[in-house]
Amino acid sequence: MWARSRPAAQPTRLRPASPLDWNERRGRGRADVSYANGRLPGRLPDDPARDRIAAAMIALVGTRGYAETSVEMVCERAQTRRSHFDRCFAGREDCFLSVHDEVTAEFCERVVAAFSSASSWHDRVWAAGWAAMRFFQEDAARARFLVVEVNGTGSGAQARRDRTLQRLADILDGGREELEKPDSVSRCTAEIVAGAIYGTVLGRIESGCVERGEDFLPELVYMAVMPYLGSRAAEDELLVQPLR
Amino acid sequence: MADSRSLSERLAKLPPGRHLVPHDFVTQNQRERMLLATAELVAERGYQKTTIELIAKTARVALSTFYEQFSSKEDCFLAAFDETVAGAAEVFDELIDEEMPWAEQISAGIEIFLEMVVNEPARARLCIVESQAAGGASLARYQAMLEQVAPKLREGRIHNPRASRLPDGLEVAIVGGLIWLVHQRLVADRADEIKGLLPEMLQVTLTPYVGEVEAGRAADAAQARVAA
Repeated sequence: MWARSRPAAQPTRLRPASPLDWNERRGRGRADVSYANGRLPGRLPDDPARDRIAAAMIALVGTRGYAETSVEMVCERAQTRRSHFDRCFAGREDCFLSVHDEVTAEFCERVVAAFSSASSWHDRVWAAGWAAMRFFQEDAARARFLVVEVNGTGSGAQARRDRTLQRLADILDGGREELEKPDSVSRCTAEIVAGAIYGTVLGRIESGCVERGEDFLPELVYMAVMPYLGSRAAEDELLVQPLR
Repeated sequence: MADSRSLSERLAKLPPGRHLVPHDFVTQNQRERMLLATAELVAERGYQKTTIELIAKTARVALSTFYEQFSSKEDCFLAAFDETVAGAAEVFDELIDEEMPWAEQISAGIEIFLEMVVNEPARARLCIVESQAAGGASLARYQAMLEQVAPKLREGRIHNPRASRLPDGLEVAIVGGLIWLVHQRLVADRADEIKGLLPEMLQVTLTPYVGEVEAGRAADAAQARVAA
């Protein structure tokens, strides 16, 4: 599609891995975090109080914001003592980052599983988009915790956000195989698109529009496929009416 | 475009003691030194580890002088952000000829932006990287910066007969994507790659409006300029 002779720029990868290696993050002994009813299913019941702290952190940060959430508030909501919090975490930021890692791992696992379930790259992009949207819709506070509050929380959080976006770029970069000359574009294109998609999702979650995620999913797919399938084919994605 | 003076020259105090320099000039000079010191410190240490004491020391002003002009570290940071963005907007206005074809204006705009990032890495890092780690007000400024650029990009819709289909937020999303690409190079200390990003940035930016073939031509022309 972009059959040009210019040499591809050096790609940026945090590590040379397929998107599937997100699953590696699961092996770190961290819990799954799904905090309905204040419990974290899928985790061995070795420390229910820690799970409650994680759930409280998600709920409070996702509704009040990180800046307005204190350790005391987290402990009160989790119905646990401050001393237990201090045994689990070095402080508020450490708690936020640890729980964020866990939520990210669960999010990535779902998205990657969906991506892997389809055959063509185009269908994989749709499947991954659906999985991401469903994850956001299941819990607005968790979506805000994951996508919005990671900004403005310090450089550690920013680095985590960037790692996730680089993995999104890994997925998108597979679109190069759809081109007649895959080397005619570099990974930079996937990085631009990943940044564009993230900004769109961030804006929608910030403005509370995530519950109608299906409405903007075609926009995201448009951005994802435009550099690889061409502008006309990408525009056709905007006509898709996702089922609710 | 870039200030050719060394950092120590730019941070140099005015001569001490009584002199005939107007008070407004002194105040302005101190303010510029504090804003520059903020950019340099934030770029080097990050926003969280930059303190008011360090800013005052680096700018060679008293703490009381800092508080005469700024209410907090965040206030000073936001002033540095605003000043940098306003300065960049002036440069764009000055250097981009509105009579040029739209795609050429976009090409020139991205090229100028990349040059500014390379020439003023501390200020670039302040606006692009640290603004996203410095709290809610700073994030709002960052978002406003993206939205400030979007209308120029949106003008390109006249080139696409199916433009009514395009998403409303497309322009802000593209600008955000371009800036994130640069962000990644700044964070990874790979500023030497930044100018070389132009062709691919141009291809992605122009494709929704003029299609991939014409965007490819513009990217090839940009590639030739970069190579030269």
